[in-house]
Amino acid sequence: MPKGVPRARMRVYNELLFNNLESFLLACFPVCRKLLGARIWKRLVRAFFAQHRCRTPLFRQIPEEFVQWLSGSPVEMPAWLAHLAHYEWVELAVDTSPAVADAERIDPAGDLLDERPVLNPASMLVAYPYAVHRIGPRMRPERPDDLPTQILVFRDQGERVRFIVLNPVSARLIALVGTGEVTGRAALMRIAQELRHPDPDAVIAGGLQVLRDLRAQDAVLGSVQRDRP
Amino acid sequence: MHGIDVQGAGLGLRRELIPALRAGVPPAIQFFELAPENWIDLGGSSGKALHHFSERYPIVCHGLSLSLGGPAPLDEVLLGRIRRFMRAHGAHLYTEHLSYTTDDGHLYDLLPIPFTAEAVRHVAARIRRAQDILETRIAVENASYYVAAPISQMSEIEFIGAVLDEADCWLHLDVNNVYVNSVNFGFDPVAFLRALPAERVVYLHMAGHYRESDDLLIDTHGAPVIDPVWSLLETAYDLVGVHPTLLERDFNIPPLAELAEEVARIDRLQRERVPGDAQAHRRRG
Repeated sequence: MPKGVPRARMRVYNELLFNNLESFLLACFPVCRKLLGARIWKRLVRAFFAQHRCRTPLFRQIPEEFVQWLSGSPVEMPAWLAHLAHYEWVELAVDTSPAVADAERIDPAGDLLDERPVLNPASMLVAYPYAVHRIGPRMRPERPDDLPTQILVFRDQGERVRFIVLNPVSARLIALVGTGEVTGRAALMRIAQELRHPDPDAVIAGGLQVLRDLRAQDAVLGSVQRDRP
Repeated sequence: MHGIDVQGAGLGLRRELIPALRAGVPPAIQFFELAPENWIDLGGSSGKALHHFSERYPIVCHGLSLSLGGPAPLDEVLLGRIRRFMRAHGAHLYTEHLSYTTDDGHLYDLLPIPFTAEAVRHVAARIRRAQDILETRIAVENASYYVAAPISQMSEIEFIGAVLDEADCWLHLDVNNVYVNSVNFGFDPVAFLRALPAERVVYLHMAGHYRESDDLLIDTHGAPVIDPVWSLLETAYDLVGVHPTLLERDFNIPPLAELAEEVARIDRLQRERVPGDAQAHRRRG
């Protein structure tokens, strides 16, 4: 503390700065806060404040810095915490994402098999070693699951954030389609090969239904507009 | 005169207020102010709402993270983003606090600059650089503070005057901050207003604060404006002239109608002092 400064007045700054930083985190991480309880949560936020140097001037990116810091295991915390925090942050990131699709390039009713499907750009495909969407006061995982939990988080046309928990094939399909470089059919043929599936046509038929469902929910916006002659 | 297109009374744009404002903007509100650090590159429903309002109302940008007094190099990348944001929304006035918000990282709150000759040079050089990048003169706001730096060499009013002169920038006068500081440091707020360079004032703020004790007020923007601050606004108008004035409310946000009453009170005080405009108002009424 600087010499000649009243202790009570310095405490004003201690409280203002901590409460302000905490308010940005509380708005993003209500589940983490609830599961940790007030005391451990405050200790975690204090450690973040003390150890981490925030680089972003934008307030809504403070939670992203928190998630990055947490992923480096800076303090003794449950192993699932960093993943849960990431999952809570993804909702904010998708909700506020500035990414918009170029409507001119998209045919909303386009062929999802023989054209290239367009994944909603305001989306994130995420994978966690825990079923983060089920973690709660009565579900605190003790060890990672055998298979990762894969979730597509996206913003629909009504600007609401939606979550779809995916099976491994759907997740692979979305990852391939998300490159913007393959037709639906090429993506599904590749998946059939990767699975050494005896009936590729069945994979294609099932995959088409998945793409149609994704389009009905605004996760897929259509297919790339074919150049007009 | 300066090239500011904003007039009358305004309200700080916050995401919480968007549904009510979408339903109808109260007539007293003639412009909106926002922190670019909350709205730059913001997509989704709030981003759409911002475009809706900036197409219909003038926008003032009131920065929070530039850290004019900070020790780290001036964030010129942020200034570039602010310039693009202002152009996208037709905003002409940018103001920042006469404070610092960084050490070697961002602290996200306003810290008091020691009132020294070295700080005057440091801050004024950064303001001039910001004005170069934004290609416009900016206004700096007198900040609230709770600790007087033991190394200060001058009073707050001397410091503000020296910075404004050396940077050749405008003053954004926060009336509540004058009141808060006058209580926290025991000076006469009216004498402070008299000593300001009136010709540099272009924009005013009004806000509520929290009374921690008889000699400690905290500038929270979380309560209605109190009567002594209303009367200080009248004194300010009489001393520095009527300028566009914004109501800030950042916490404990009440229904829009309550905020609109405070904005309307600002509007009334302005019209009482600008006879031509007041007559026009009566004719319309």
